[in-house]
Amino acid sequence: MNAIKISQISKSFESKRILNDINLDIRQGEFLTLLGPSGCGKTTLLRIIAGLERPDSGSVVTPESVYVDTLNQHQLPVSQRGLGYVFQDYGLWPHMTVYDNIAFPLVLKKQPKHLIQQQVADVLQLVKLSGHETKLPEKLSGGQKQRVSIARALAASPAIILMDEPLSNLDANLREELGLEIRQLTSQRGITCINVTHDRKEAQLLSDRIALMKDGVIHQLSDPVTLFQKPVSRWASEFLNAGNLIDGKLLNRAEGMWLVPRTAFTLVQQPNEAQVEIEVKDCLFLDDRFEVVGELHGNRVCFYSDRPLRANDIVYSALNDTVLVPVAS
Amino acid sequence: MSLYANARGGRLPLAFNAFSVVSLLIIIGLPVLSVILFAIFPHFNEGSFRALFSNLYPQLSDPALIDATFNSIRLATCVTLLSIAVAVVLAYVRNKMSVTAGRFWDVMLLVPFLIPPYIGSMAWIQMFQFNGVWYRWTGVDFSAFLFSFSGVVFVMTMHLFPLVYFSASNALRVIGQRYSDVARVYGAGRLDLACRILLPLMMPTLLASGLIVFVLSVEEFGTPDILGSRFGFEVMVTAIEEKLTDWPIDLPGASVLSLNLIAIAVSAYLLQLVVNRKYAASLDAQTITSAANSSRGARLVAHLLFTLAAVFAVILPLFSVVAASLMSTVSHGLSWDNLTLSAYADLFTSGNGAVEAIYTSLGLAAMTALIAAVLGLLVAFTLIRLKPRGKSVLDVLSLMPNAVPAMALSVGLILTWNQQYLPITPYNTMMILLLAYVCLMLPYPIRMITSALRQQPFSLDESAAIYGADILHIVRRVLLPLMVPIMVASGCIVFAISTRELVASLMLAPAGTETVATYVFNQFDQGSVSAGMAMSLVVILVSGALIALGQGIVKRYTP
Repeated sequence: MNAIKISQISKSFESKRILNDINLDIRQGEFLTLLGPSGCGKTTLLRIIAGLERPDSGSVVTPESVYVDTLNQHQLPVSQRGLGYVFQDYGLWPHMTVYDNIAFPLVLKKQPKHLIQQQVADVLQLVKLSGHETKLPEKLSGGQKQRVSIARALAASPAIILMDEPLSNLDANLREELGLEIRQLTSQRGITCINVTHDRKEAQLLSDRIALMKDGVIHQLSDPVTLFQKPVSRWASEFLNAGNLIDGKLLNRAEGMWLVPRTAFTLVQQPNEAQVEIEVKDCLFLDDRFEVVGELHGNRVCFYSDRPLRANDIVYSALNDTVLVPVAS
Repeated sequence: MSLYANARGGRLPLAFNAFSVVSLLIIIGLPVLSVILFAIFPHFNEGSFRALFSNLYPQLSDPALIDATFNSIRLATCVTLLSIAVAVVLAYVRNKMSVTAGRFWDVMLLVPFLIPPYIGSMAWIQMFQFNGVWYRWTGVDFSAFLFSFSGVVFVMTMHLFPLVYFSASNALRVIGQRYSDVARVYGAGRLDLACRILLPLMMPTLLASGLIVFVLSVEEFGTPDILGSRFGFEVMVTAIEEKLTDWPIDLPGASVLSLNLIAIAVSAYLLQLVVNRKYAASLDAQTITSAANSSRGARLVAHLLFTLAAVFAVILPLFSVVAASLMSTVSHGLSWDNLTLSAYADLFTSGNGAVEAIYTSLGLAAMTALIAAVLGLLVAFTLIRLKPRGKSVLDVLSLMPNAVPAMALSVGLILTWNQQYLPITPYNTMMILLLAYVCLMLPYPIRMITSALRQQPFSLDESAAIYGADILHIVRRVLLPLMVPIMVASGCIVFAISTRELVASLMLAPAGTETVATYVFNQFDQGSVSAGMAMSLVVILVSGALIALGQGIVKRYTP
């Protein structure tokens, strides 16, 4: 069962092709992320789903209604799609209190007041902001603002929530915490989510599936693990920072381009044939381990070490060859 | 943007757009068009295009007109150059002062904006005329200087140079610290610094603000009329006024002169826009406020120069207004037994027209403020949010009153509305004054509200649409409440400036109606100096307080 069926969507701005024949089915209750560099068309696609942009051609259909279908010249107004939307810059109205911001969609639906109060209280509790009802958005921190924005999206119990880089304005620690909360809140309620980001970590943190986009087309569509372990191209591997790309003959493998994960290296004391020789260029202590930058057959490689290494040292490493993946260049 | 682009062609955006364009066309477009048409087709009001251009050549070759045009340009050029000179010196020495001292002088130099130029000129006459305050103090007679071309240049410069000063000192603050530090590191001396770094970088700013001063000087009526009439000095604006008030009334002549005037003012204004567009963004506007590290001597010189400027731009004119309003007999001069508050008491006793003038002005100003603020919001919403095709028409219309002089606008309004064939007309009623005021004041709310609206992210509109709001809802529940403080602020400023508007009031007020400005003007003409000056002081204080309130609101509500 598809929550949204996107067919043959194309869009140009001033003769520049932004989206080129996009087809995408989004499953009921899944969290799908559109990931890609800026200018790849991901935000435009999201805005077409929301109804904030009109496609040149194609259709977006849900089980309940047709959002847009250019063949029939049909376009459902934004205000009638009943979506939730979480903006990168929160999109909270600065002159309304937290309560009024969240109640807005419900007030426009003309729900009775006591129901609105109940619902606002419920969602505020979900995002852990009970007691902040009467505050103005300017009094809240960035993380709190985004929580209010999420609460507002949840308040009208939509079937679909769209998110535009919901975590990118937040600092790193908060990003992870709020990301986990978003996952929990949406998956518990079976809400279908479409998220847009250029940040691969944000995509990994949130998604059931990731659609990697490039130049207006979907480059690769898969679950996060597959995406990062088996990128379909050199570009994908580089954009995802999936691992080391080594061009040449590696161990007993054929000549070609190989993706070698950073975790495939194990440093050893004594060299033998099954090992590779690496010249250390630099060694940094990052997070809780040493990260080594070195050179292998003229390729720059990066891997982890449990002890510090000195620049210009020659080290030997075993390679876990079960994780090597050939990459099309 | 695309939210509204999707709705483009919908009925509501179309209505917004049509309403803004049509109202601006009526308020601003029609009068300007009338001036142009009448100058080219002298029999246009008879519905005839005959005698095309027949009026243009004789008028343009009229030596009086050539003289007036030449005088206007000469006067405006001199005022502009002198203003730039004064402003550059002051802006330069301001850098030598501490932050607090600098702020004090900045506030001081804001005061000239509060003194309408016609009141300033009257004050200078009180000060410098033979047997005036200055003569009694110093025994030196400055009246020959005041009633000369140099005198007019001096009085107008003292009123207008702060405009250049503020943009110059802002520019210097940015340039001064950042770019001159770099220059000094690479070995520039003080002179190199001034000539190679500071002046070239300040040039666009000086040019742009100088051109604004030029436009204002060309448009200025009060000073050339009050001072110039004493020595037969005629500029374009006063010549137009004469053509319209002295019998026989010469409408075609006035329209040709007005067209000339508009052409000069609009060219200067457009040049200013070009300069601003081209150079404004090229400086990174990052200010670093470092403590002044200058010698005591330099600071002393700086304070002396500012004191001198303040004495002539602020203290003497204000003192003169207060003194003249308190003297029971002007010729007796300043002495305790010659001081009385009776002029103020008379202001509020009905019968002599003062109370009526105050009511008229307050009523007009309130209506103008309300209409201008609402129109401002509509135009700003159309320009910033709807961005319809052909938005440049609206852009031009909303900028026009900045460049079209009040005198030319008044001529245009007369030409438009004083026509036999019109079944109903606002002419000769209060409505025509209201129309003129709204037109002259519109740039303030439009500028303030567009810049405030531009700062509001589109996500506010978009989230409202996503959660079920249509365009009317978005305007009413999201944008209007956000803009109300700025609308009130611009309303205060419009109200303040409207209460002292002179030119349109003189030219268009229906018979027997006086506004505060015409009251002051006529009292002075008739020799009731103290009554005029008492009213002036009330105007200065009330409008000053309102402008301060407006600016305060802006500061409070802009992030």
